[in-house]
Amino acid sequence: MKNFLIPALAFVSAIGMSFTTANTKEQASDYVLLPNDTWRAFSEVDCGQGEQACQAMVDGNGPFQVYDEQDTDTPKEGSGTLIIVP
Amino acid sequence: MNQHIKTGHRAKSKYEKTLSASISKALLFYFILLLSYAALSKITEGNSLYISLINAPLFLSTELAGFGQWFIPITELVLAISISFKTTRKIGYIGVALLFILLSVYAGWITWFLPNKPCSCGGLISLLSWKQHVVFNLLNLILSLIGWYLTQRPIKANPTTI
Repeated sequence: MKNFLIPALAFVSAIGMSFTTANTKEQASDYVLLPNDTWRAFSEVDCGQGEQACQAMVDGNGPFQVYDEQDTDTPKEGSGTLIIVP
Repeated sequence: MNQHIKTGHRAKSKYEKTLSASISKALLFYFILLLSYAALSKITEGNSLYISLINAPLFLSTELAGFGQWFIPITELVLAISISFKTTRKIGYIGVALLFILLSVYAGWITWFLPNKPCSCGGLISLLSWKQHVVFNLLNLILSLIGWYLTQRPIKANPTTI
């Protein structure tokens, strides 16, 4: 029983941590490709109706093309309104 | 005829024993916390791992990504449980080391060979860059090997004459 104290404590801590942080994470569903070739994820944005390129300002930089997935073959289209991603 | 006394390991001092026991316990707590938190957060986050796997440059099909969505956290949980028990700790640490070798190779490949890096969105350490991921994984690999080494029971001095 004494030998299982450390694992038990670690498991309890992990359970607590996972439930307290689970809801604070952003559910990524739209992406932009930043100039440093790194994808940046953010919650899904409403680009409106239309066939114009959906672009977004991310952290004050951009505008960048918005993609549905981390794949440059999946550009998002919309009304052409510039989206601001904080 | 010369007589030799053969011993497996030199006798450890009390200080060395206490130190290695403390390091061993700290590593045990750290790895169980790390692995079980990683597994549980993947499970509680819903389909974010599935989305990450689909978007990862591994060219996974939807079926494989669906399989990985459960296989990865279950593997992490199994490893956390295996190092919890004395009897399976040694093999558990080998599994942990293999996991971090795979993760280091994956993060290294993304860092140095991939033109467009996927975001490390969600997950345990989403704030780290890919280079930091590599360092973090290598550090964990070294720590798991230390844990494995400390788990090996020292051979008791068994004087035998030749």
